[in-house]
This record gives sequence, C-alpha cells and structure tokens, in this order.
Amino acid sequence: MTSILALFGATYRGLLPLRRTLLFGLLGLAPAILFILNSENRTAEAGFVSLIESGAAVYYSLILPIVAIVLAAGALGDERRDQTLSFITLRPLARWSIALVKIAASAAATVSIASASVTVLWLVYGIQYEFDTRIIVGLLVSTALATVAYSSIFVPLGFITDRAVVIGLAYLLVFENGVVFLLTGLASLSPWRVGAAALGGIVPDAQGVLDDVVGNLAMSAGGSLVTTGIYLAIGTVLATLLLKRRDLA
Amino acid sequence: MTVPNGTLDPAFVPEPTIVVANTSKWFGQKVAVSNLSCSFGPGVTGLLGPNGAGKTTLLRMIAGLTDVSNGSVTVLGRDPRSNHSVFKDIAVVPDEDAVYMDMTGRQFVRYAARLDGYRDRERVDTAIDQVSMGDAADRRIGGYSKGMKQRIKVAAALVTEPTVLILDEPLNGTDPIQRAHLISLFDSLGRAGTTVIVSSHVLEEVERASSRVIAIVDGRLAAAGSVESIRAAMNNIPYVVRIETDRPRELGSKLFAESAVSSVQTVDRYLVVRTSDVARLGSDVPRLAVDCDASLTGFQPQDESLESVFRYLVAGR
Repeated sequence: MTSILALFGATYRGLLPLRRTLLFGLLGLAPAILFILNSENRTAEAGFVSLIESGAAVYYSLILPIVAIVLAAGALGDERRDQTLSFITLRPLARWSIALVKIAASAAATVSIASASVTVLWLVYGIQYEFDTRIIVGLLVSTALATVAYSSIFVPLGFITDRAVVIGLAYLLVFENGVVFLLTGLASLSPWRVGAAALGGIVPDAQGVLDDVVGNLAMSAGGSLVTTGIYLAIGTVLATLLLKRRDLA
Repeated sequence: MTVPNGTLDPAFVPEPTIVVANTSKWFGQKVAVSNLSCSFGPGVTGLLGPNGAGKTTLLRMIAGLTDVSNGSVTVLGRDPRSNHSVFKDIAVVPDEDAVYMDMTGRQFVRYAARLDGYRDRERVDTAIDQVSMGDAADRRIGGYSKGMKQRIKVAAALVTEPTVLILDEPLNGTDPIQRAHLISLFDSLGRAGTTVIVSSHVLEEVERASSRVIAIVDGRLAAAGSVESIRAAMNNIPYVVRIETDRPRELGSKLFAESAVSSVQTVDRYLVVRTSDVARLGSDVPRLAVDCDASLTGFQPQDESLESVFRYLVAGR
C-alpha cells in the first residue's frame, strides 16, 4: 500500500504544479461568470434553467473535458517524455496497478480543479436563489464520472503519443460537441455526456434542460455509472498492456 | 559454461545472479545485440565498449525494460520482463536524467524507497550519506549539476538495498573526487556480495571500478575476463603511430631495428610505424632522433581510441 500511495501522491502533485493549478482555477470560474451575466432579475425557475444552460453546459462541454484531457494525457505521457517511466516500472509493482493508479491520480487531480469550479457555480446560484444540495451532489458525482471516463481514455493515449492533448481537443470539439450533438445515439462515446447524465438522474429537473442544450443524453444515472465502469476497465487494460509490451524509456 | 580444457569460460561466473543466454536484440534492420551469452555474479563487473556497442541495450534487457528478440535473460532465476517481483532485488541507475526536476534530492530518494514499500527515514538518510549528498539533499534536483544528479540517482538505487545493482555510465559528469568516491562505493558493495554491473565506454573507469570485465563491440562479446587479460589482449594489437620528422628515411631505418616495431612506412615527410608498445616507442624515438640528427615535429598515435582497439578485438575473434 505504501508504494501505491507514493505513486498516487507523486502523480497527483506532478500533474498540478502551481501555475497550471492557477490557470485551470481561473478557467474554472468561467461557468460562474457566465451564470452571473445571464441570471439577473430572473425567477427561480428561470435561474435554474440559466444555471444549466449557461453554467453547467459550458462546464460540461468545455471546461471539464479540457482540464481532464490535459491532466490525463500527462499522467503517463509526462513520465515517458521526461524519461522517468523506468523509475516507476522498475519497481515490484504490477503493471495493472501502475495503470490504475495513474488513471485514479489524474482523475483526482481533475476532480480537485473541477469540483472547485462547480462549487463556485453552485454557491453563486445559491446566493441568488437557493442552496439545493441535490444540485451540488449531482454536479460533483457527474464530474467524477466524466473525469474517470476521460482519464481512462487519455492516460493510455498520452503514453502512446505526444499529441494526445491535440487529439483530445479535436475529439472534444469535432466529435463530442459536433457529431454526437447531431447523432445522440453516440452519447455513450462522449465522456462528458456520460457524466452529465448522472446529473440528470440526481436532479430530474435538469434532465429536460440538458436535453435541450446539449442534445438527448439517452442515458440514466445507472447507465452513466455502468458506462464509466466500462471506460475504466478498458482504459486500465489498455494502459496495462502498453506498459507490459512496449519497450520503456 | 566450460571451455575444452575444463576451466570456466571467462564470460561466465560460477554462481551467477544474472544469466544472458544466446540473447539477441534487433530494432528493425539494426542488430543491437547479437547472440550474446555471459553471466554476472556477486562483485563488480565492468561492462565495457564504445558508444553504440550495445551496452545500454544489454542492460535494458537485464532490467526488463526492453524485450529480447531471441534467447533469454534471467535475473535471480526470474524473467524480469514478466516477473516484476524481481524488482524488489534489482536497482537500476540509467544513463539518462531519469529524475523528477521539481523534487528535492531527499524527496526523490524517499519516493524510490516508498515505491519499493519502505517508509523508514533512516534508510533514506543512509543512502544519501553514502553518496555524500547530505548538504544538497534538500535542494531541488532541477538545480543540480550532472554529477550531483548521477549521485542522487545512485542514492535512489541504494535505498532499496538491492541484490543486483545496474549502473549505466554512472560516472558521467562527475568530477575526479566524486568519481573516486563512487568507485570506492561500488567496490565496497561488490565486496559485500552485491552483483554490481558498471557500464562505461572509458577503459580507465572500468579498470578502476571492477576486477572483471565484459567487453562488447557491435553487439557481440569482444572479450571477457580480468582487466589484466583484456589489457594483454589489447597489447598484442599493433598500434599505428605517425611520426613527423625532417629525416624520415634515416629515422625509419633506426626504428626498424627496434624489437617493438613491426613495420615502418615512409610517406613524404613522415613515418607510419606499427608497434605493440606505444609507450616504449615514445621513449625510444627521441633517442634515435638524436642519433641520426633528425628533428621531430610530431608524434601522433593514429588508432589509440578504445573503439578502434575493440574493433581489432572483434576482428580477431
């Protein structure tokens, strides 16, 4: 357990140096700022719609994925680029445990940034309207699920290529925010939609608004959980195989 | 493995901890290691060869970082590629700067200890003291010199108290005092029963650090055995020396009579001399030049590099 915690801690700290944390922290304020700009003199109902439309939608479709992709791509990718991968692979650690810890640490780092973002959004909403705990629980659970899904994809991809972030952004902007918007049947291939579906399950009022803004999520909260589990299993297996089969730097 | 007269082949040791058996490694069309067989045991073994000889590839195969294309490598009876429990007993100091620049030296060594499951601070402090890095241990590695990085990497390897210690060019960037200290450290570890492999392309370093040498050239075993036997093998190879003088014919005829000189060739205003003993030639030439009233303007060994000597060794096998 000592070795697992050490690997987790070092990965987490390595992914969140001060400058990056500050940059992502500022980026994370964007949903709250958008909500403030769009919610003056509204009814409670209109305020909730604005929370989802201008706040949560931007958070799910841009802020959360960008942070998740950048951090996940660096979890193994930075070690490979900096030639420190052998430092962790030449240890009595099973390859699957290294893969799983890297995914977990990158997800934890993303959740740290993202949860601050949605907490600020929820606080701003609460000050103006009401502090509904279901909303913050829904936002945090959905954040965690989407983040695990992104980490499961981009931790192994970061190991394969230095262009994982570019590929990730293209995937986000072209496929998730373009193709899947038109073809909602592909929603399960969009990690942020998988997460957002959990918000819809926990806060039923949000479901309809989300469907209007980001397209039909076509998934229940349970489906979101199962789909995230599938992402995690596939990502862990893939990263394990890469660590086993590739000649390591 | 024994040779026909019943003695052990110098490429092998009686009680090996690492066995390399008919091992080859190729990357596409390039053969990095070719059908290499040898073994390593307790004590310090120098892995010697010019740059690009295949030393690092061999070490990476021993460490399980690179798969073998053919043959096998076992460490303490286990395949390091598939059995990761062996890493409890192996520590590797790679040639590259495999360090975390944002960590302090102490954090780096502690991280290495914890990755192997050790939590005690004394172990970390001891490893840092072994490489004399106590004063700089709480500074960021990013601010370290090359030699300091090398030493902190060695500390991170020693902190796990390995049975097998693999060091790839560990003396690169170290100053003479640090170098002497590290060599002494490797020697004491070897005497205590650790299998220490020290890779270097510098003959003098290997000679000082190890009693046994495995020499590799072009991915093949060029020589194995004691440093003395390798030296002797090298001394049997004629060196080529270019001597510049105003009276090449007269000096050439004098040199030809010397026993250490095997051939003399006159080319314009210089001589190309083949000798088995460069040092002796260096002391004889001034005396002979005085005898024939010749003035010397140059004395330049033409192929004294380790690489060329090794190529002779390979060609002679």
